[in-house]
Amino acid sequence: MSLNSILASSLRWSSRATTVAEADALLAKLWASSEARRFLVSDSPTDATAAAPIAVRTGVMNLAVVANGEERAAHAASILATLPRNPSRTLFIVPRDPEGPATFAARLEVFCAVTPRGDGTSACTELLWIDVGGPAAHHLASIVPPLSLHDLPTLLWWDAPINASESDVRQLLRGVDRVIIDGATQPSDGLATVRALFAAAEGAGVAVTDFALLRQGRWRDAIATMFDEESAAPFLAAITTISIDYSAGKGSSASVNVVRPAYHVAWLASRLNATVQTPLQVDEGDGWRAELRDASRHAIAVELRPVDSVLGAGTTIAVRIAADRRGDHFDLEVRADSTSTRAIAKVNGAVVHERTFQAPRWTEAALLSESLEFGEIDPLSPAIIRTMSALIG
Amino acid sequence: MEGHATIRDLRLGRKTRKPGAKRGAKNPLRAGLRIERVPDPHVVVLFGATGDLAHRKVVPALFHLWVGNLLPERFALVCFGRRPFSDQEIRSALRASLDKHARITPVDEERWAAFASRITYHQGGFDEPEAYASLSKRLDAIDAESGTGGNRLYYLATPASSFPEIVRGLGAAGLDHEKAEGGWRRIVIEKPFGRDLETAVKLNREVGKVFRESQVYRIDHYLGKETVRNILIFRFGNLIFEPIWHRRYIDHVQITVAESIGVEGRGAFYEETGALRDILQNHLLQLLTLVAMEPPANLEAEALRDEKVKVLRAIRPIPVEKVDESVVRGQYGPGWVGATETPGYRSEPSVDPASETETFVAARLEIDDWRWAGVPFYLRAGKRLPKRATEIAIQFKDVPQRLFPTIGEEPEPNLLVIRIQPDEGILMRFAAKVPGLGIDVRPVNMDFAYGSAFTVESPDAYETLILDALLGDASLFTRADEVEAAWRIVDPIIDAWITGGEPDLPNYTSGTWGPEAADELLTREGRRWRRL
Repeated sequence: MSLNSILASSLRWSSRATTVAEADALLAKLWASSEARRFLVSDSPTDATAAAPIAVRTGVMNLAVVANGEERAAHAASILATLPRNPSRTLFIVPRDPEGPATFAARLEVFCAVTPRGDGTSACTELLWIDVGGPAAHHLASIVPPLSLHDLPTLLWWDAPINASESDVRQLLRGVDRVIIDGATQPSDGLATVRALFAAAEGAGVAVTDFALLRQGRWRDAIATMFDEESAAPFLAAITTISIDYSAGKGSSASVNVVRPAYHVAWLASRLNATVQTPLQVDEGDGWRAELRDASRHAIAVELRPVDSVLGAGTTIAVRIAADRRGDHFDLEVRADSTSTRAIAKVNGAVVHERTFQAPRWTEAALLSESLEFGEIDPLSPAIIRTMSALIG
Repeated sequence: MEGHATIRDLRLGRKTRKPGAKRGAKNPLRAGLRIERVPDPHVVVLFGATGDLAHRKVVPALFHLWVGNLLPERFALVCFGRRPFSDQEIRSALRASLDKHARITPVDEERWAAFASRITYHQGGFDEPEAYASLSKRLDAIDAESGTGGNRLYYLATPASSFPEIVRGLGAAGLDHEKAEGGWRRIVIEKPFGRDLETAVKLNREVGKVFRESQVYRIDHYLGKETVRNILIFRFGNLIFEPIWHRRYIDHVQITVAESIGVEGRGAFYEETGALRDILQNHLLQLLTLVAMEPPANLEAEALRDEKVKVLRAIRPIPVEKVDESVVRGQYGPGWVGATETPGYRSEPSVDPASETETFVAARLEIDDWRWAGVPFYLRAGKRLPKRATEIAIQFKDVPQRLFPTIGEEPEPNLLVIRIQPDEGILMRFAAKVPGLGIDVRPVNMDFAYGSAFTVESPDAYETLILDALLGDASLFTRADEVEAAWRIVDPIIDAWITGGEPDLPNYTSGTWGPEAADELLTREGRRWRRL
């Protein structure tokens, strides 16, 4: 049941609250008895009936969205609307005017749509639009937990620059199961911000889902598949260089966010049991350098190189992996466009394998859908994030 | 020494892998990726491409895999059929079918254009050797032009009667040979796998003359359904159910496959098949094996199928002379289904007016092993029943002593229902106190529905199974000995019906739950079918 279908649904209810307790009580009352659900109003006059409708709240998850302004909140809602199904309760929180008086205003909405089970039951989802101002904007940890449904996982989508050193953010992390960010949109090179978040999340025992890491999934599929080939597989244990080209964008290279290219290195290192010998450092020329040691303590040189491109700053342009084994030299180069990835493997300069994979660039909706549905069972992220922290240094 | 790898060859990785070995199994970069593998570049050769199954299921499934980026860029679909079609005509026909049968609509025209450009038509009769010779040349040309690497999946979406001649044709043209330098060859065969044990053994033998068992994928689409696959997760991914999954706690099991539709223009097919062969021999027995099997050692295809075969072999055979006591057949007469008047089976097009084909079957089976001894499994399947519903109901025994007073009916014992369609999910029924001052007990439901717990849609069963076949994973496909073991259970029933007297058919009205004798199968043991 998508939000689009829900918004065109047969049953709906709305109200307003000026305190957290009032919002919680209004919603609790709605679900406390079938009598109260008479207040769910049918859009269709022909559906109007004296009997209380059979309506149940979905049992999926809580989602708290911290948005940088109303426009971003509306944007987040529009992305949610494209997903196949929805969280049980979504809080759209817009913190504003932290220097002004403490304010709290919530618009509460419930939308229901008839389920396909054929017994007339409607499944409902709740949307809470929350404006919070003044000192309360610095205490989101006092808002999210009391407005979250019991016994359902709570996800926090921080759709804004995040400062994990703030006490409120650290407190908020303690009350959720997973935090979703986009490392690629964090200020400056992005590395310090994500490192601070990783540390705070680890302290709170919270899983992190980073859109920037998910976006690289199509690259990972292509690289992994190339090493399935028997001509390439032996070189996996003999890698000497990992080199990532990324778009320099239009600004100065120092301000380019390099979280995405760095994730490629973190993934490879974590999968190969490599350790960080020298963390990422700005190269004297341009770009970044680091050094890894593989499981056999052999050095692997890492370079992130900015290149001219029309693509957005920080976008991965090419991933190159070189290896030497028993006198043979191996090169793998992977590139991508909007719809596919293309990989070419060479041994001693001769092409031994070439594949093109259908792999379109991820949309925001796909990233969010992936984060909501599969993030909790993603076995990759924790190891990659640990390695990424070491790589950032 | 062609075909034999030396130690040195193997050590240096210079020899191709053993056919069937999972490539990339030790690739550490594979771990944790969402998509385990995109299949190798390949060609699908679809026999019966102008038929109903190809248009309704196979091609929509391939297209959805393409849209989901689960097929490689180097992919080709060769449609093989008797009728004269140009490449453009078959593409137009398949495109028109997608409007009716695609899971995701509207069809993405850009993706369709890319998919359609990979479709070609190859005309030929299934019994014409020259058609296979020209097919072989065509496939070699596609490999050379498109880089499909000699990997081929032959999909037999044809009537079962054509299977042997297609397999022979492929073998005679050498299209089954897996080459040392790479290039797998697999064949997908649709049910029915024979009409009885004898024909199943014969078919397996015919297929086995050309293809190794590891190349053969016998498809029963029920095994690709999300909820069916979830039975394994439910049973072996949770601790709390396994201890009570036992004759000590379970009274009986009911498995139902109910359809509200009739034969829908497939009268000729159904006349030769009937509910016993069409549903019980495969779908119902497959569901039974998943409920009754012991935990497999791992999730490899052979380990899973070994356990399923053990269950089938442990089912107590019904002697021909006792079939009437354990099996009920029925045929629908005219009636009303969903406020629509419907004809009886014998009045359906292409059906013999004196037909003895069963449109309903119910059976009582027992499994002779330590876990299930004494627990009856009631199976039923039928057409023109009041509603479409497929489910497995595990009925638990009553509590040994009732402590609580009840008003009205006695509270029912615990029940676990695995709903397969529609509204896939799992329901657990247990007793709860009615709010109030007294101690009244009433059964309540804990109900898990896929639709409200996950934010992704389930793929169609054909998508799941075709992708598995392309990846070389046979876990959800039926092995030859499994098919034969299932026929050994069904054969005495067929014999009894053939040698018995003229049945009293039709014996149930369309829109009802089958013949009264089916109810008696349970009521004489103090049980009843679940109301669905």
